[in-house]
Amino acid sequence: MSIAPTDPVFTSARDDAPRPSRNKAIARFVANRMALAGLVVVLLLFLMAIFAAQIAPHHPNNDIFRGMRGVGPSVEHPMGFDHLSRDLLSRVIYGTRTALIVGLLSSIISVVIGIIVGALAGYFGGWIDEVLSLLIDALMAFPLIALLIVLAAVLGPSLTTTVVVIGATVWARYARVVRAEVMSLRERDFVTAARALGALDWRIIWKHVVPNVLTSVIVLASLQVGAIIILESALSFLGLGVRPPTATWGGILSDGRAFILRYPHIAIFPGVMIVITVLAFNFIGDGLRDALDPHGRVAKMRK
Amino acid sequence: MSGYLTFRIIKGAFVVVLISLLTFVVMRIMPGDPVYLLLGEGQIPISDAQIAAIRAKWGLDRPLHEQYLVWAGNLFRGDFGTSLIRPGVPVRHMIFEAIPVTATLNFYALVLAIAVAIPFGIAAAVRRNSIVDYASNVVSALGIATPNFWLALMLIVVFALYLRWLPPFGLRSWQGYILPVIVIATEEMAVLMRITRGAVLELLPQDFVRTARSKGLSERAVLYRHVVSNTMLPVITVIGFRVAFILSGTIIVETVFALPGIGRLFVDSVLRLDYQVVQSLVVVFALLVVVVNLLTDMVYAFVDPRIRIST
Repeated sequence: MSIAPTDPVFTSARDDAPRPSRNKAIARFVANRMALAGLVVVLLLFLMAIFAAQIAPHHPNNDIFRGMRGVGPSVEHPMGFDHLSRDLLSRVIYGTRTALIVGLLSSIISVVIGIIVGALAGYFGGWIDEVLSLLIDALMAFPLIALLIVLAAVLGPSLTTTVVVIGATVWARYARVVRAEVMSLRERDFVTAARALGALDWRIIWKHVVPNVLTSVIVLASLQVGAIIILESALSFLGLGVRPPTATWGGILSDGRAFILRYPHIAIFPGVMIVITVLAFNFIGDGLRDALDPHGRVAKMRK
Repeated sequence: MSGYLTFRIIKGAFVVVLISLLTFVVMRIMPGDPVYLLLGEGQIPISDAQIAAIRAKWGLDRPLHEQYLVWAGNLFRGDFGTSLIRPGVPVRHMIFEAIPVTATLNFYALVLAIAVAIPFGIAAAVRRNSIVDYASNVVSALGIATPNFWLALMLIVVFALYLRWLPPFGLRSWQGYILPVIVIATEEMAVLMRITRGAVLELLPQDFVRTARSKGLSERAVLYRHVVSNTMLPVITVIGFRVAFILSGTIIVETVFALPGIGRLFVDSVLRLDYQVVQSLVVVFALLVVVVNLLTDMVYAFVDPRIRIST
């Protein structure tokens, strides 16, 4: 007996069965001009962060130009000087480092926590799920900035604190998505088969469940990096993030606010850099979502 | 419906209790001994016996769980304690003083955001790929990527420094609200525009829209009577569920513009280690979010019979 491709078994299975092949996904991503532009910008930003010492014309903290306090942009100093007579261009270039370090490390921490919590809640269900879901709800119901401010103040502001507190608080969204996916994966045949073969729970989660949620997690993570960079600069702006004199975009903006009526140029450029960086990451995220997830399974994750 | 409601209320209460418990624990790890904070460190010579007496008076010598229960009990009765930095001033008084500023700010910001975002979101969806659609896409992408504190600084530079139309900081007159309202509204506008556009695009190809068209209604009537009314529900829900984000925005914007609202009270209290105020505000925030989410859920269930019946 031949099975027609219109057989209901096939059509109903089509939704979740074949994942888009890797080549197709890459082709779709490359065809998206905005995503490609975002990727190029992010690569340039990484180069700028890595080679900051070579690119920056002056030292961000130690080169102090006497008598140039708060002088505006000129040809030799395109962004002008700050209130301590330091070259702003060099400080903005070094600021890229902080932004990318926090963006990446906090993302990694939150992805790991999110996958663990989401997989445990979704796989085991029952009271474990109840407790973890309550924790996820509590975290998502609370203004993130307020939580970050309190934690940063308690732990004492520093780069490490910033990375840890952001990583430890933004995972709820990953957990929620992973939990939902794991709940549906748990009922699938290959998991049942693994269980029938006597595989241990942690092995099933690690070998069979986690690889299947990675697509959604990657898409969500790329969309979250921008948000994390904004959180980092907000904390530094409030004086609760990375400590001065380390150059951070948020920190320079904080100087910019203090001297906004006398030296307004200080506040302009770091903000432009934040907007460019966040836009670039968001375009990559949108591109990845459309490339890896053309049916829009994860599309609703972004509010 | 009532079973669902009870479940939601119990869950919301759990969330508030959990957050209050976590806050209490976190605040106890905070650096700085409250006794020294109270007396001003090193200013007054005191003996260990005196410190012990003060600890006993404030209940700081009792085990942590007892301290928590006393604090939670007081909160429940509406007694938030007194400020450590402004001695003798009840925390409740400070919060009530700040709430009108925050409420005014957010009310006008939401009104402005809705008034702009909904018409533009609808227009962008109806005229897909037109200039309006393109512009609304650019605006919402930029709105999401722009940090609110930077937008605030740029508005200060333009409207306060160069044009001299508006005051840069503070709240000496009602003009002090204008820039902060614009900043908060911009952020919400970007999100609402996206949501509205998406909601309309989902509705347009549906059967009831085709039916309305085929029975001879004008495009305008189809749009207003059938599409727009059905768009309102998801939009209202999104606004309700964004209360936590809106609070986050308020905290930063009030700090930038030096507005005496609860956001700035919160940041100031954290920086001054006034943890009586901080822990009360954290609970107030949690309560606010949980109550607004609950109300949003109820409105949703009330308006949409499909939810009412299925639960």
